[in-house]
Amino acid sequence: MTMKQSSMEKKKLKSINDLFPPELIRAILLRIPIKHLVCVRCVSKLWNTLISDPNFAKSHLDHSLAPSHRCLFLQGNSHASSVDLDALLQDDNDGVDAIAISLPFKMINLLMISVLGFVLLHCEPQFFILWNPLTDSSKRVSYSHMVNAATSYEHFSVRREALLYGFGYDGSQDDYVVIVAYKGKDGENHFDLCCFRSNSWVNLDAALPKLLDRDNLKSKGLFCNGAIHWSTHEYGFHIAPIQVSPYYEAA
Amino acid sequence: MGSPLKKIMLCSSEKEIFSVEEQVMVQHSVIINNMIEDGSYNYEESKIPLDCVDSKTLKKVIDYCTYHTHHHNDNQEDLEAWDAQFLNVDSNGLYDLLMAANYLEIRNLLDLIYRTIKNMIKGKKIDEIRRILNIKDHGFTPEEEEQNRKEYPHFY
Repeated sequence: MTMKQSSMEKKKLKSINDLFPPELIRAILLRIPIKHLVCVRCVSKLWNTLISDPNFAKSHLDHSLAPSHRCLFLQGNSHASSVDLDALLQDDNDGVDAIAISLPFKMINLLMISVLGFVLLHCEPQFFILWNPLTDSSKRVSYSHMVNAATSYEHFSVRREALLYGFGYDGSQDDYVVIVAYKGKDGENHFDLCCFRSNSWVNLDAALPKLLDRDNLKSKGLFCNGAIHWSTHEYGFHIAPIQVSPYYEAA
Repeated sequence: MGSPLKKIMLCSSEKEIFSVEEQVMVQHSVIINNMIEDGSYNYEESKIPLDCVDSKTLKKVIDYCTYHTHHHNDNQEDLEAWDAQFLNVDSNGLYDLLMAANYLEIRNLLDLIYRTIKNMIKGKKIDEIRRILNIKDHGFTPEEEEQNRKEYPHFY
């Protein structure tokens, strides 16, 4: 009996976290499909740290041969839910449940642009939030300088007052960027770019493309093929792309 | 590339010597390939010491590399069936294999084991994952753990 017990003890399972260096655990976690990651990060603090690392999301995306497609809904300004579109499109599905997601801040204003799994949210007054719904991590950046520089609006809101705004990913810098164009107190158009990595705003020394230099109903840009695109409604479907590059050239 | 007839010696942590076709190891293990290519392996005298790989695990690793060298033209289904049978070991055996594959840089074996562990985790409840992988100390403070359980009750 005692022998049996001791051999049982010897065979006692070892813990994966004690055995492996973090790189190996990270390699396993990178293979876990997105929809399971929120659950998996609660398994242990180490896993949570590995998954929350800013580089994890990008590596995970690079790793997924078939990235998943999800649709995000904002309900009111404090709740969101997501629907797995891939599951929805499968033949044998019998309805797909929307999964409730908690937002990083209450009182989010309706500005949602999604690029490569990251979502840009907007909180009035005065800050943007870069949000990764996958890991529920977020980073915020203030745009109070714009409010101060803008015209007599008492309540400057990017969504209402910006001539243009857009959200994109700059592959050369591995950074997410926000571009906002607005009319300043001085009557000049300002064209500012925010890099999330350095958490700073840069004034772009570029003129707005002529077609866009006016009140524009379609002020929200679309990120596609490495550039942010705006449509101009004067001639129907003219598109004015702005390359998100290290030089931030306006095309 | 080594010649197919040459043999190399691998030495386990128990100092047991395994003689393997050079080709088999060169094709699969990045570090052995490097050793052969840069001439640091001496065919007359050298044996490659693998101090962190025990004999039982080393034998499995050699089996894997040998089979995949000689059967790489087999159809995918047969290879997958063989792989599944090969990895039909307990968790400790699987962990030992992962450490060995990592040490020897055997990429396809590493990938196979990663996928196997992933499938052990995917879609399971947190308590079950902790049990399977024997994570007793999850590292969260009691407050954090309680917060998570409150926020995601359906995951536990």
